[in-house]
Amino acid sequence: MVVGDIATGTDLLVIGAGPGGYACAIRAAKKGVDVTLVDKDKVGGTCLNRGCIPAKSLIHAAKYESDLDHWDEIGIHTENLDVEFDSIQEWKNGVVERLTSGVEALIEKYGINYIEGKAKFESSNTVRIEEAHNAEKIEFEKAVIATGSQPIEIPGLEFEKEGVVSSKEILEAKEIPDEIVVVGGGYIGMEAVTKFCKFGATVKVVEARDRVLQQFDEEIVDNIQETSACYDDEIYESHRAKRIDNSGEKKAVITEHEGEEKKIEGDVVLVAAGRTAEPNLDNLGLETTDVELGEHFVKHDNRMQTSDENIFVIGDAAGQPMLAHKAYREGKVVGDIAAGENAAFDNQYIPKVIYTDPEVAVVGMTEEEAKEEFDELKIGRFEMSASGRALTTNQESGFVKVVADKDGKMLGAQIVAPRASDMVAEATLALEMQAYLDDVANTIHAHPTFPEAFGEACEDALDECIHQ
Amino acid sequence: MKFEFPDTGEGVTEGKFLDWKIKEGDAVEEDQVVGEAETDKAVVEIPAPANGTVKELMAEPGDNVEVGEVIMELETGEKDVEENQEEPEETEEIVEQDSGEEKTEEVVESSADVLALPKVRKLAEERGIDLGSLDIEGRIREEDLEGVEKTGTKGGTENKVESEENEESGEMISTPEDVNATPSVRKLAREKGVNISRVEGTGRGGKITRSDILSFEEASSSEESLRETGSTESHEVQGKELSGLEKNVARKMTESKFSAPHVTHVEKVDVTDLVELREKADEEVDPHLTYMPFIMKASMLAMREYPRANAHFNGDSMELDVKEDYNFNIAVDTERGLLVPRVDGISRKNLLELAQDLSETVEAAQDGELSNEDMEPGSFSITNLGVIGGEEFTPIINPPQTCILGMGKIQETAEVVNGEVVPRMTMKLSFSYDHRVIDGATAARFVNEIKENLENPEEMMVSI
Repeated sequence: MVVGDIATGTDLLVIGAGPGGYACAIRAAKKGVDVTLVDKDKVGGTCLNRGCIPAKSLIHAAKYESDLDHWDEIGIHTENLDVEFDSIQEWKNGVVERLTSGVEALIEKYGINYIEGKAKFESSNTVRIEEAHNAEKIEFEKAVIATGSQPIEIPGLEFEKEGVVSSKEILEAKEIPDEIVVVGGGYIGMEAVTKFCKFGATVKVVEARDRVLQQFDEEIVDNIQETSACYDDEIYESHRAKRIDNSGEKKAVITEHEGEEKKIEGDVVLVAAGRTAEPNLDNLGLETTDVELGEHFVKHDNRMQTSDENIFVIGDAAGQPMLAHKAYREGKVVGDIAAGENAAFDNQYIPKVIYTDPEVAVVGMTEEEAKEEFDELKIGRFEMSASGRALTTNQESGFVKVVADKDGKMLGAQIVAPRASDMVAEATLALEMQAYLDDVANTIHAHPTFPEAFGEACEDALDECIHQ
Repeated sequence: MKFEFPDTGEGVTEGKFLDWKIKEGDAVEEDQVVGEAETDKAVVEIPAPANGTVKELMAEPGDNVEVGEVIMELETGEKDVEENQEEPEETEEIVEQDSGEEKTEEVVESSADVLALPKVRKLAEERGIDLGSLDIEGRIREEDLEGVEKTGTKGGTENKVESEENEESGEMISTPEDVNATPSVRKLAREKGVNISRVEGTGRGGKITRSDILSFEEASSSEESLRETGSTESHEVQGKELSGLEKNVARKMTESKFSAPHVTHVEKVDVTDLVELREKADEEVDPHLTYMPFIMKASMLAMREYPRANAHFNGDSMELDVKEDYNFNIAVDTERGLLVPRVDGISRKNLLELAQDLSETVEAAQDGELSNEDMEPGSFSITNLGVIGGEEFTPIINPPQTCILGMGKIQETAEVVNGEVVPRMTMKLSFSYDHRVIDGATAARFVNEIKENLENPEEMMVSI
C-alpha cells in the first residue's frame, strides 16, 4: 500500500442507501457518529425507487378505475371517462421523487457524507469506492453491508431476453398492456395482478407450485380468490415456466404442466420469482475481510454483526424475510450500536403485508403453526361482512383471525380486509407487548373503524363477541 | 496429555490460578509441584500428573479455572487418543469464558490465539510488536499498543488496560428472541447490563416487567458493593470478580450477619499487670510471646463456666453443640485477604506452646501455605484488630460459632484508681455474641470473667 493512499476516514461506512442503509446512517449520524453513505444509484433503494412505493402508488390509482362501477351504483356517474396512464405515471414518479428527495434532505441535514459509487472492501477496515470519474479509498471503524437484493432470473426467461421484464420495468410501463403473463405467484406477482387487472388488463399467473401465495394460509388465498376473479381466473398452477417464445405475434411463455408443454401468451412477460441478495454480495470484495457467508446471505448474530468484528449486515443481505420494515429496524439497531449503545435486533414478530384487494396482512403464528406447538388453542374469527365500517366503504369481503394459547396469550393474527396493512400494526404491537386476548378485547376501539374487527376477533376467541 | 485442574476436595469447584512454577519446555516429574491456585478455602499446590515435558501452559496467573478445565498440555510420550476430538470443544469453552457468559450467541472465533483486528495486527507488525507476547485478556485494541515499544515491554499497567476495555465494550447482551418481555423492557435490560434470560418474571404468565429488571439490577449491584467492601486488595477494579477466598469471606459474612442476631458487648480491661508480665516473659523465652496466648487462656478459663461460648449453633435445626475441646480460630490479615486459621488444644498447651503454634500458623497463613483443614471453624474465634488500630469494633461471628472476641488497641489511658487519676495500660474487649443462644447477662458475666483473668494474670497462671 502506498503511503497517503487513504484519503479519508469515517466512523461508520454504510454501503447501500435503501431503507436499511439510510435509516442506519441517519440514526447513527443523529447520535453524533461520523457517517459515510455509499450507493451506486440514488438514495431510497429498491423500495422507494422500484418497489413498494411506486407499486403502491399504481395500485392506488388502479383502485379508482376499478371502483367506477360502484360509483355508478351509488349515483356518482362518470360519463366520458378518460384515463391518461401517462399522468398516472407522472404522479407516481412525483411521489417517488418527493420521498427520495425527502431522504436526501435528511442525509444532508444530519451531515452524512453521501457518495454515489460502487464500494468494494479491500480489508476489514478499508473500502475502495469507484465513482463516475474518480476512485477513493475510505478507512472505516465500522461498516454496514446494506446492499439489498435483485430479482431472481429464471433460466430460459432471462431479463435480457426480448419481452421479459422484471418488477422494476413493469412499473415504468408507458401504457397498460392488454395481456400480461406473470411468472411467479408470490407477492410481487400477485400485486402486479392487483394493479393491472384493475386497469383492465388480463393478467395470467404462472406458478410452478400447486398454489399461489405459498407463504400465506390457504384460507387467506381462497378468500381473495373468491373476492376477485383477477386472482382466480387466469391462474396457472403447477406450471413450470421453461422459456420464452417470441416467434408469434404475442410473447409466449412455454410451460410444462403434467408432463406436457403449454403456451401462455401475453404482450409482456413479467418474471417475479423472488429476490436474491447474492449478486450484490459477489462483487463486494468480502474475501478481503473476515465476513462469512451463509447460504445465500451474510452470517450474523442478533446485533447484526458479521464474523468480522468491524462489519455489520442489514436488510435483504442479512436474510429472509426480505422486507423493508425488517431492514429499517435492523438499520436502526446498527446505527445505535455504532453510537456505542447496547442494541440488538430482538424483535419477535415481523408483520407481512400484501397489497391484493382486499389486502392481506399476517403476523406471528397461524392456527396450523400453533397447533404444532400447543395442544390447546383459542381461535377467534370475525368476518368483515359484520363490520359496520366495511359496509360503509363497500368492502365487505375478508376476515380477521387471531390465534392464542389456552391461557389467552396471543400468538398470531391473520387479516384479510381493506386496510389490513394498517390493522396489522395493532396486532404486531399487541404481540410484541406479549398481550393476552383480554388486553385487546378490553381496549376501546373507535367506532366505526376497520380495527374494531380485530377487537371483535379477540372477543370471539374468548366467546364474548357481540356482533356475530 | 491434557492436564486438568484437579479436584482439591472439600467441594471446591473453581479457583483462581496464581502462578506456574515451571515453564513451557520444562521436564517435570510426577507429583512435582508445577503451579499454585487459590480456592475458596486455601492456596493449593498443583502436582504434575505424570512424568513428561510441558508442551503448553493453558492457564495464566489470575485466570479463574474450574475443576476439570485443561490447564496444561504435557508430553508424556504416550499418545492420547482423545486429544484431537476434545480440542474444538475446549477452545470454545475458553473463548466463552473470556467473553463472559452473556455472549452465547456470538460468532465464536475459531482460529487465533490472539484476538485483534486486522488494523491492529498491521500496526503491531509495523512496530515490531508480537501480539502473542502481550499480556492482555480478550481482544487487543489499538490503544493497547500505545506505549509498547517492542515486544516484551509492557506499557501501562494491566489493570488499567482491563478496566478501559470493560468500560468501552460494555458487555453486549444478547436477548433471546423468545424472552417474555415487551420491547421497552428488553431495551431497559440491555441498558442496565442485565442478562434478561436470568430474570424471573413476575407478570402474567411469567412476563418480565420493568420492575423485575430494576430489582434484579439492584440485587446485583448491591452484591457488587459487598464485593468492594469485602475486598482488601488495593488494585481491585470495580466490576472485577472477587478471588475465591474473598468470595468465601463475603458469603460467610453475609450468612453470619443476616442469620445470627448479633449483640456486641464492650468492656474496658486494665492490662497494666499483663503488659508488665508479658514484657518480662518475652525477654526470657524463645518464641515471640504476644498477648494472644494470654487472651486465649483467659477466654478458655471463662468458657469453663460459660460453655455456650465454646459451641456451634445450627440455626436450621436449632441445635446447640457445646464443644469439649478448645480450638480457636484467629483472624489473620494476609495479602490475599482475611484468613482465619485454627489453633487447636488451647487447654492442653502452655503459653509458650501456644505462642509457638501461633507464630507458625500466622506465617503459614501469610505464605498461603494453609490447607483447607487448617481453616475449618473451631469452637471460638479471636480477632486482634487493635494491633492495627481501633479501640472497639463489632466483630462478626464466624459461623457456626456462637461468639467472637475482638481485642482493641492496648494504650495508656487515664484511670481513676483509689480516687486518683493515674495512667494505666488498658484495652477494650469487643465481644459479639449470637443472641439466640447467649443472652446479655451471660455475655456480660463471661466478659467479666475474661477481664478478671486478664487483670490478674498471675492468678490466672495458677489455673493454667
